[in-house]
Amino acid sequence: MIDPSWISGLGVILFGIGLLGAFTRKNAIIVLMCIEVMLNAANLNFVAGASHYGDVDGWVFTAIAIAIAAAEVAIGLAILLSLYSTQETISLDEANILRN
Amino acid sequence: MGETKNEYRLLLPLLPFLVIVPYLALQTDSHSTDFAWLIVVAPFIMFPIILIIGQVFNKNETWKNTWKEGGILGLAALSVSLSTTIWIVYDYLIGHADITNSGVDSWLEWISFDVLQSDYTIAQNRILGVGVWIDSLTLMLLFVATFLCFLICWFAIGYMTTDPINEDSNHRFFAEFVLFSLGMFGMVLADNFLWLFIFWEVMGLCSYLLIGFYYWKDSAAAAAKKAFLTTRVGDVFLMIGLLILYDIYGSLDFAVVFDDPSTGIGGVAVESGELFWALMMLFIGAVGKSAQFPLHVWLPDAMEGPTPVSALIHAATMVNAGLYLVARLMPFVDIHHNGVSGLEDFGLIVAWIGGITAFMAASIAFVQNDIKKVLAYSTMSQLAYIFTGLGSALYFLNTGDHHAGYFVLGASLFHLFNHAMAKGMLFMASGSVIHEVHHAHDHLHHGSDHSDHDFDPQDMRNMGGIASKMPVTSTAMMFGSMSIIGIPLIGGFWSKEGIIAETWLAYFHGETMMLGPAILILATAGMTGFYMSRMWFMTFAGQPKSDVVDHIHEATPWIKEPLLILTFITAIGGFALATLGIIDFLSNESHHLSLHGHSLQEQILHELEHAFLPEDNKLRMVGWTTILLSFVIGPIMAARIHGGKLKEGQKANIFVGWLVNLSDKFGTQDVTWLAESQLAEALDKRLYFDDLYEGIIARTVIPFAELSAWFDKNIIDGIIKQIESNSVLGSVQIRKVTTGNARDYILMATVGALCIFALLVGVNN
Amino acid sequence: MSYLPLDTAEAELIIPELIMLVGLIAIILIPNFGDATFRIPLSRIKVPILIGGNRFKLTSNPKLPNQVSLLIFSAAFFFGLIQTSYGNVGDTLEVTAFSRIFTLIFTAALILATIATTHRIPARTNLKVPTDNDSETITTKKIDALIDNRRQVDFHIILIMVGLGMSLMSMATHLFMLFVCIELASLSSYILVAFHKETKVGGEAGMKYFIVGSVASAVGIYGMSLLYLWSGDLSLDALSSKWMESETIDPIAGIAVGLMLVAFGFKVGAAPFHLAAPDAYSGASSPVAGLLATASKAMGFVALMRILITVTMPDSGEAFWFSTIAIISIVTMTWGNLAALTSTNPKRILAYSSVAHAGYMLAGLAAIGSGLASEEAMKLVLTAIIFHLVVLVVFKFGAFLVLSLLETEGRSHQLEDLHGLARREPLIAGSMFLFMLSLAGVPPLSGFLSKFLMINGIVNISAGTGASDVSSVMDWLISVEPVFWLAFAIVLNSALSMFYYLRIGLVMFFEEPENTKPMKDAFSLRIAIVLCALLTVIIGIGPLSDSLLQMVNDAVDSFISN
Repeated sequence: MIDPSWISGLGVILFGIGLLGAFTRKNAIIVLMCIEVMLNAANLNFVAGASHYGDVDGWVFTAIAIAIAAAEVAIGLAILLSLYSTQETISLDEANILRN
Repeated sequence: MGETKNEYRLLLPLLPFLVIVPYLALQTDSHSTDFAWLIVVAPFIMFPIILIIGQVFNKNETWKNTWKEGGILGLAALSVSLSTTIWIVYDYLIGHADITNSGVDSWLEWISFDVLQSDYTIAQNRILGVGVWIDSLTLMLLFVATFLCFLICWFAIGYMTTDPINEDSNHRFFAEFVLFSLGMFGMVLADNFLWLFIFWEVMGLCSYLLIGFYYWKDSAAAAAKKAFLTTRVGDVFLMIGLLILYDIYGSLDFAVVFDDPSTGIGGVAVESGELFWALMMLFIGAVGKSAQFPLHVWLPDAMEGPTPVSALIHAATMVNAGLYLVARLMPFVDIHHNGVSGLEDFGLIVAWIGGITAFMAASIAFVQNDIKKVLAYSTMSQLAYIFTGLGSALYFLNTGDHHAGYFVLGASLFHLFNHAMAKGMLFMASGSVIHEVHHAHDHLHHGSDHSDHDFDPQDMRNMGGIASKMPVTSTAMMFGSMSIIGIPLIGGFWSKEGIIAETWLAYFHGETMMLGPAILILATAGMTGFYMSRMWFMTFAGQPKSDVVDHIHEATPWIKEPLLILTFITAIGGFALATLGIIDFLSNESHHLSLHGHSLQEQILHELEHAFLPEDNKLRMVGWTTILLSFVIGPIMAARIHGGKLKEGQKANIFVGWLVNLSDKFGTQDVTWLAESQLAEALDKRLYFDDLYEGIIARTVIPFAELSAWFDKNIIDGIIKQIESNSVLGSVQIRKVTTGNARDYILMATVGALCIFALLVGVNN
Repeated sequence: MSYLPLDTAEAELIIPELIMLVGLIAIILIPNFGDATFRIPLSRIKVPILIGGNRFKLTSNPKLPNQVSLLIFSAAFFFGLIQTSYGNVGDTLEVTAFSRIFTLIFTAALILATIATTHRIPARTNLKVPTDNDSETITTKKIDALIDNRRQVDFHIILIMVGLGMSLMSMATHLFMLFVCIELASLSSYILVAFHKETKVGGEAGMKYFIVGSVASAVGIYGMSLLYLWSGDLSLDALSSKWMESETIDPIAGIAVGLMLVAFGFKVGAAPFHLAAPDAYSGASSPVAGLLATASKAMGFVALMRILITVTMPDSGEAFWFSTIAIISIVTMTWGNLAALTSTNPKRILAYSSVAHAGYMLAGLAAIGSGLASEEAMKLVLTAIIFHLVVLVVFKFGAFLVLSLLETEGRSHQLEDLHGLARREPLIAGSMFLFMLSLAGVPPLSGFLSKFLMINGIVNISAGTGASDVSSVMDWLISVEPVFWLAFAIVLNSALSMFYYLRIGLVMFFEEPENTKPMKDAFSLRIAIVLCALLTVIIGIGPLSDSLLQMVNDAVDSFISN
């Protein structure tokens, strides 16, 4: 069995990638993907924790977190669609009517 | 305007207000002192009502004609105050146990607070209460104030609402009027110095508002400012005095302070030196309020207000406040009752200030041609009499001669009463004259383009021979003047005689310093005779001096009734009250007004003998000199210069007709040479006091004020502006961080998170 | 073992939530009731099944969802108010006075939002379908109206979900439960922000709020997962006792808490995580913005209090997050007030002001974390924080209600839109002025009371920390604990904030309006505004404030005893 610390180590890397992507990419859909990556990093931690402690809770958390991520994506894509229908862009840099 | 309208039906709304107090009084178990708050609260409630209703219904016909723009409401409130006062006075006179036993009534705690004392310990639960202090002094002033305020308000309804210049601003007048009244009522009733001071300031504010009632006139605005600032100088000292008193006694309650003035807080014996300064400071406050030398300059200018305001300030309220305060200080020096000895100097100073003011004001009054200005200086002069009397009382009480002290104290306060009644009436009468002259002038020049703006309806040189046109007013004014002059048997005679005699007595008892005030007020007695007679003769006797006089009618409603009532009181009130022993009553020697077991004749004879044939030869001489000066020499000189027959075919009523005719008998005398002298000019310029003060202020205060203004503008404002502009700059910068780009937000959040970690690590290592 | 997930005793404890849950189902079903029938196969018997077909007149009324949702929230509020029994529900929820007062906050805010939405997205009966003869603008208008009618129910479904999520969140005793509930409320609120998708700003505001919010919550979940790695159990009790046991702070746990601070900091609008909030507020409709500024903020504070005080607050001594939160609080309040100073969009001003208010409350939390607080002082500050959250619903939401009223005319994004409001609508302008004064903390309004309690509490905590034997003020200021400076910062910031609050009053009373006609007759909205204004006054002074403070006190007691 893989040592849980490797799993959570992967989580750290994923989280870093996700966070970095969130503020470097300007395409909103890619940012959305980055957020998913960050959530998955958390999931990895839960899994690692569950196997480390032999605790079933971690698996449950993972399942629910995946559900949350799904909901997030659904809502996110809907919002991005509505943004696209009015401003015809999903670039974070260009959608900045509201500022200051 | 013109024909007299019967407007008494307008008084119907007063009925419910008049019923309140009798209803309360008829309740069993009701004590008048429990309702003393009504005196203050009634006007206090009415003040905003008049103001708000007036503001809302301004120009409404019903409001104007039926409610007299708030006048009726003001009258209603004052009627409650007056009837409550009468109830309390009645209770007091019949010796109601509640009052005579305690004399003080505290209802509730107002504020309780902790005090950091000078030794850095904290005294807990100091309490500021709300209560009333009732003794004969309170009652007399309360009666004077409520009674005169009521009458003046009545008078003002006629005077103010028929004058087009006041159109649509009368609600302001009446609202401020009741506020002013409540200031005086509250001050008199207060049972501690702090409340006294608060109400004192209420009056200060209202005097400013009312003197500046015609605020669009520069002179009125300036006069208001002058009155406010001058009295303010006194108020600052008053405040300092109160602080010293608090320091000495640890309380400002009359009950605590007067219980044993010789023992301060913590049982320490009070040093006369410290107390002297406290009293001096309080006295300076009183000097400002009562317009005595050297803070007298505001009073003549205060004539800029409407005439009812003059009556209010000069007779009923404000100037009496200073006298009241000084009279309140008696227990401090009364060594017969635990007073602090060694304060004779204080009495001397008060007497000297009084003497100087009396003489100075009387001499300035010689040359005034404005009818109200004459009265204004007369007020100053008469108040100065009272101060001299109070000064003598302070002196006697402190030197142990408490009989003489109480007598002159009572006489002074009695003079206050007589003067208030007479002066209130004189002002109203002068208002009546001015009002009618003004209307006659308007009537005469109706249709012409009012080019005659130079015409001054207050200038006596435009009058003359009005006696036949205005029978009520001329009679009232005659009795008023007599009372002020001190014509034997009438009003002020009874009290003035006492003041002068006792001041001389102090001199005879070996206090040489009292000679000055004694001589000054004796001379002033004669001068009073002159200038009051001069005013009357110039106005009412002789040939008309302008074409206006022919068109005068005594026709404005609401004006005559107060005059008649006060004429009656002035004419016989003095004698009657003197017979009833008011002097003992006012000095708290007795609690009753009665014949003291004598029959009426005995008592009258006793009083007459006391007045005209005192046992002491010296005093007898002083008395007769006074009578000679004031009754004979002064008036005759005035009659020679200004008296004379009325115009052919005009006839005055019998009350004044004899006087007009008499004045003709003394022949005429030309005094033009005197009127053009430098002395007259100096007097006309009010002895240059105003110029002097202006000069001093221009050299001291104004440069300092300019420096302060510069400091305020450049340093304080500069700092504030700098802060503001920096804030705005910062704001603009910080808003730029909100770029509108979600990526930047995430970046910022990440940076923030890193900062958090840095902090967490940094702090915990 | 019962087959039902709840027994009746537990069900009684969560009546408000059950009402919202049932209401959620009901509001989905109700507009679909119709006369549809189902023919039993092989027979001619038609059985009415009620769902579908031609809708009944009652259920097709577009105003119905609004009324139903108002009813649901009012019922939830009422039952929350009269609730007296407390206890555990399952393993992860516990009903306490603390959770109840937050349920009341949330439902009250939602009631106001529902009322305001009635006029913000008006439902019109008897709409006409556009015909070929109509001009383009009329067609657009008619279509817009039809769309408004169609989406009535959507808005309220989401509102109820927000309510459910928030209310459950306040009673969660398990960190994961807490997070799931927060996600339920947050995801719903993203939709609410983006609800006006036909406008350019609606979509954009929703997108920003969503992106930043999602990143924040992803960070938070990651932090939570680290905490799980560290402890193996995410229930608050377990976390708390584990935290107590450990001598030093495990770096993983420290990082985990820090990451969660980011997530909750976003919810409460703490700098520098607040940046999306002003954009979201100004893009969203005013009722939604009001919801974000009050209920959502309260939710964030519950989470913060759980993590900071329940879990990581040591029994004695300084909490490891003290200086962090203190600095964040000062930065937050200053940033909010400074940015509001020159802002010209009333909604942004209110957004920044709510950032500043978050700073004040964070200062309270920081003062508790200083470890100097006696139990009494700690209670005082907590009372102040919760009381502030309660009264914010009254006056902050009140101000947003006024903006909602302006929005019915399609305006509220410029300060000019408030010009001369006093002349057009004296009552509304007066109420608005009252709200501004209360936000600024002017006595005797409720905003003053809460701010006063806060400053009083903080000063109380710092009292006696300055050396008493010093000779000069400067020496004392140097020797006093830094906690004192938090109170000082609040006072300074209040002074700064007066400027823009009063500016709103100024333009309402002294500027000329563009038009002088009265505004739309939005009766229920006006009632709500005036009610809020009244409450602003009477909660600030008088018996109601006493009883409310008593309630808050009970809540604090129940929170502390956990």
